[in-house]
Amino acid sequence: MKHKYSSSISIQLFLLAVVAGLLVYFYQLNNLNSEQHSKRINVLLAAKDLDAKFDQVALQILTSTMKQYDSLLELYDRMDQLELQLSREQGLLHDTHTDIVVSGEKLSVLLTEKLALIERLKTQSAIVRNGFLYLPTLSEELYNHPFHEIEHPDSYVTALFAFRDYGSSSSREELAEKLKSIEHWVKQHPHDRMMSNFLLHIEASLKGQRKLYQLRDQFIEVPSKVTFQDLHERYQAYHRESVKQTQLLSFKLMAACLVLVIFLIVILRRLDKSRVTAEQASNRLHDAVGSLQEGFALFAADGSLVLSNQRWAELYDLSRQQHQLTLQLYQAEREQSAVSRTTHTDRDSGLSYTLEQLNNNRWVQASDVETSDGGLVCVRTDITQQREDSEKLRIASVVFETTQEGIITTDAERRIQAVNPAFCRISGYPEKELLGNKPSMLRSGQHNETFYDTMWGHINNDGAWAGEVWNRRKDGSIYPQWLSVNAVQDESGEIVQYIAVVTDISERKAQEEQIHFQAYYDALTSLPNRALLLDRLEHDLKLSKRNELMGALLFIDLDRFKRINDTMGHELGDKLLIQVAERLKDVIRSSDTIARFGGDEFVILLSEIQDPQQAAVVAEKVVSTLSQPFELNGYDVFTGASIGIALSPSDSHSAVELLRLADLAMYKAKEMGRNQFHFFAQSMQDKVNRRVELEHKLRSALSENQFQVYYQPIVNLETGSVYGVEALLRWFHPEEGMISPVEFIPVAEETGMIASIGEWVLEQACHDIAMLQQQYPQLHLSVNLSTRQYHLGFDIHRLNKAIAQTGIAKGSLTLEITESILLEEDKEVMAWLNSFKQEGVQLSVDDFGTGYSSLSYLKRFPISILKIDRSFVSDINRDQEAVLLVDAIISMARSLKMQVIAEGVEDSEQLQTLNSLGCDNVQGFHFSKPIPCSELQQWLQQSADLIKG
Amino acid sequence: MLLRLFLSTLLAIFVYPLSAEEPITPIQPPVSLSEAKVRLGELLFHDVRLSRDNSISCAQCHNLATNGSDSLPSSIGIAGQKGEVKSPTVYNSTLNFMQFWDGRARTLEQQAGMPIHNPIEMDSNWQEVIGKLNADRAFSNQFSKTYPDGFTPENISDALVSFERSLMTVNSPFDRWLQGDKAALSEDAEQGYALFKGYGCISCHQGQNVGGNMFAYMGSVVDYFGQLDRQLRPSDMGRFNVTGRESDKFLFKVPSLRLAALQKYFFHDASADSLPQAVRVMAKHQLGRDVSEQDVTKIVAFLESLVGYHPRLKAE
Repeated sequence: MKHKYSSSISIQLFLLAVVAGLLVYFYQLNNLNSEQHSKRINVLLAAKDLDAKFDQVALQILTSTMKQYDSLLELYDRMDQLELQLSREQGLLHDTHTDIVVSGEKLSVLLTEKLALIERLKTQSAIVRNGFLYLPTLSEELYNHPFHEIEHPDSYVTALFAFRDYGSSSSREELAEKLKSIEHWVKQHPHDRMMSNFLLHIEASLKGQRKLYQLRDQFIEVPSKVTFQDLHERYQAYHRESVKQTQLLSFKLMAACLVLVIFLIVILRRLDKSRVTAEQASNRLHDAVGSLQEGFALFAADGSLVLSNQRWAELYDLSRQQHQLTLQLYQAEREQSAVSRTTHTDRDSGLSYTLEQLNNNRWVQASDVETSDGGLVCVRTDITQQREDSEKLRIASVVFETTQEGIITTDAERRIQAVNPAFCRISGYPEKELLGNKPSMLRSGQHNETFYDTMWGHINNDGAWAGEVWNRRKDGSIYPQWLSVNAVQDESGEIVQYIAVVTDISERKAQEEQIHFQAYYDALTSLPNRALLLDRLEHDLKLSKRNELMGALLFIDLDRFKRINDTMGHELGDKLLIQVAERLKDVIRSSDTIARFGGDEFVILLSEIQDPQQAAVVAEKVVSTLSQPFELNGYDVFTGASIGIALSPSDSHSAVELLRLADLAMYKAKEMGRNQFHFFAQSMQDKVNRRVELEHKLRSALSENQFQVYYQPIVNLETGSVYGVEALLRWFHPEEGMISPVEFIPVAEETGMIASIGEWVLEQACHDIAMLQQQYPQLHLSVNLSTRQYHLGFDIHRLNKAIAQTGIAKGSLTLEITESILLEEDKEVMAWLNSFKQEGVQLSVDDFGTGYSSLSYLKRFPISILKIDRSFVSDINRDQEAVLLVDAIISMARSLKMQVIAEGVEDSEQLQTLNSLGCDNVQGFHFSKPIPCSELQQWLQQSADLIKG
Repeated sequence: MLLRLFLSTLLAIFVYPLSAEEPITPIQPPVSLSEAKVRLGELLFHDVRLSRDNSISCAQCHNLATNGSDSLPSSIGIAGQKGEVKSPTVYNSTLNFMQFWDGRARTLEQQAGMPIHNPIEMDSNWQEVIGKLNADRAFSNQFSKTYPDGFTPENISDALVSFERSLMTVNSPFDRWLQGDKAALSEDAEQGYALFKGYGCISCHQGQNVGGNMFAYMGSVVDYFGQLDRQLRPSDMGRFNVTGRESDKFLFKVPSLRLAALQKYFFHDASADSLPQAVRVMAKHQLGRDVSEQDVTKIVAFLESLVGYHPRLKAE
């Protein structure tokens, strides 16, 4: 890694160097650009120009054509500038060749020299000019001088001008020759000031001119032109060289560029290649990391996340912030999510790792390893499953060791691989003696080969078998065990192992028997109970189906047992039941079953009988034996039995149904007067069905207005006028037509519907009669009141409510009750009846004479009317006994100050007899059958008319 | 009066080309000067902090009210030290082709620092001067408004030179005469100008500044230093002190005659103390001639007509 870095750095440095080199090349090229060149050329031109200007100025000075020198100030400025531009250090040429610089500096020096010479020319020229200015004056002064005779003074002036203008040495010598005579004169005449002054000026002029010419020559000799030429040529050469160099540089540059481009292409190709490789490697790495079972994350040295997989994010619930996850963030999250943490060292590798329990209940083995570049590799192995597995194994091992069940595992060849302590305990064999042997060594010999073959067949085919097996202990004793064998298959379905779980069930078997007994036998009488009875019954039914045998079920109910139990105590009741059971056992065959069905009910199952008569015989025996007194605590106690008999298969094939039918038949027997037996008959079933049907129809009768109240007039025999009417309920069913009250009233009473029906009748009747009472104020109304209504909550308040709503006169209302209610002898019933009486409502007893009521009974009740049952009236003309009975009733009623109404009067003979007996009122078909209210009104009208008429 | 002004203007327009032929030209008023720089230069010019002991300023030796110079044979530096040469006028000094008698400064900018550093003049140095000026917060702020980099040798020199450029004496009678105002010169002066030219004075004293644009030997025809009854001084060597060239001995910058009429002493050594005498000395040693008193008077009249105007220069 480091090596790669350093090579990449060296490549970068190399490229940088190349770029820097190119930049230098460009700079050099730039250095030679035309601007620099033109600047230098301009300097050269300026130098040349200044040189020319100097020449021009020098000429002007020499020829005295320059009147004043202000204009020369500018030359100084130019010279200053040029001097600077040509200076060795700062000049424009300093970065060219030394010889050029030297040459330029030389030129600068020469030009400076020229300017200095110009300055001197100025000075000298002034002197010369002024000399000439004075010469005419001097010459004129000398006109009258004696020397004038020798030579005219103007000739000197002329010679001077000649020298000035031509400057030849001949003219100078000629003038010098001429001056000798003056010098001679002056020597001879030292006080001749005029002449000496003349000589002075001539000589001065000559000297001045000579000096001026010297200066001029100096000026001319200054090799500025040559120097310039030299400089120019040198510079041109240099420039050409530079241009050449530039071209060369350009070529080099192009070559360098080419090399660079090629190099770059190579690098790019390499980069591309390595990028692809890196990408592939990265992809592989990502795939590999992604497919790891372990959570994996790689952090760089700066804490940024380089790489991680989904597993990682799931472990720490980091997915939402993964893209910006850093080591710091992760560590914070880790601190938060860890419930516990312990550090361990791997025994093999010596690496340390951390076991963490996370707050999502997962266990993680965490190992963090620093990378060579300071990063961190984090690997998280979710060992939750391993932990669970090992825990399970541990638990399994504990279970294996401690369970009460014996466990054996064998290999596919059924050689014992392992046994647990429990098995050793059960079998009595130590582990050593069992291992490697086959379980067949434990066989007891209780089962034949077929048994084992079947067993193994199940195991090998179904994979499991369970059942009771008797084995032999080491000490030779045999014991029952519950053996459960499972075959363990490998992936290919091959059986590799058998696992057997063995439970010693010797004790359990004993317990089971106990439980079985408790479950199937009655604890009190030790007779089979209902469950066992049903079991056997089912069993018999199956058998009888096959053998076409007949069976009989005798349902026995003890008469008056409740009363005995209540009056003599349960303990005695139980003793009675035990004795009953004993007696029953004597009656039946051993193949038959007696069961205590519950309470005082016993059932005898007679299997395999040929004739129903056999059942009847048994039933007779039972009735007979149970009607004998039982001796309980010194008392003779009488009970009896009512028996219902159902036959299989003729009555039913179903055990439950048979029981029900037998029960039904038993009730019939009870109805018929106890101490007898009765076979089940279909009519019983029909009756039951009819009852259910009626109940069903009755439920909707009231709401669908199927009821109507009919009225049968009651006539007073003394006056012949109407005493009142009895309200009678009529049910007109839309399908069946009229249904008899005899049929549906008991149903209504049993179901409790009598409460609402009774109240409806009362209200309807009161309403009708109240309406009629407007015309017939003396009209009485009798409404039947069922005893059940008492239990169902009918009371004086309800009655008053009906009276109040309809407005019927209280004194005209009579409630008819049956005799049976009086027999109940209940104080509350008495109070109930009294409450009506106190409100002024009369009570009458219906169907009087059929029950057992006696005079003393009647006296106790607030009864004011007796209604003589129709059975007596119908017999009154045929049976003397009936006449006596009716007479007795009427007499008794009189003595009790009760009125009498005879029911069911159908002809005038009966009427006459009743009349003779002194009966008060009568009702019956003789006068009118029960009629609806509308007809009653007509009837009342007719009868009123009859009486009047 | 208006008519006259109009006529003179007309004349100035038409006659100027002719007068351009004259070796002396009128002084042109300064152009494109920064007022702020001139003001700063003026302050510096009068600032004694340019001297070591804060005793003298430029104006000490260059009294603007009199003639832009002092009226002493030689100027007095700090601690009463005497210089060797008479100080030249600062007026019109920009027109000089070089500065100092020996031309040791090419330009005024070069000149400005020299008196400051000269031990017998201000005897200071830039560092000291700048230190002192920077201590003056108000002046420093004012200066920095014009020169953002504050006091530097270059900026101080530039300010001083700017001020000096403003010191031009314009509209002298002679200049007006040159520009066509023939009434501007007296007859004597006009004749004096003719004599000035005829004697050859003009050979050296020409141009706007009537001198100041060339060198001349002191005693170029008749020896000057020889007839002096004093020892030669180093300053007498003139240009030689700058170039070291033998031929430059006794070579001096020709001084301007513009304000010569206002001077008390003349020549570098102040050997003349009147204008007529100076004229006579010049005629003798530079021209080798004697000048009649009549001509001297006329020449002096001409020289007097060269004095121009400047607000600071008190008209006499």
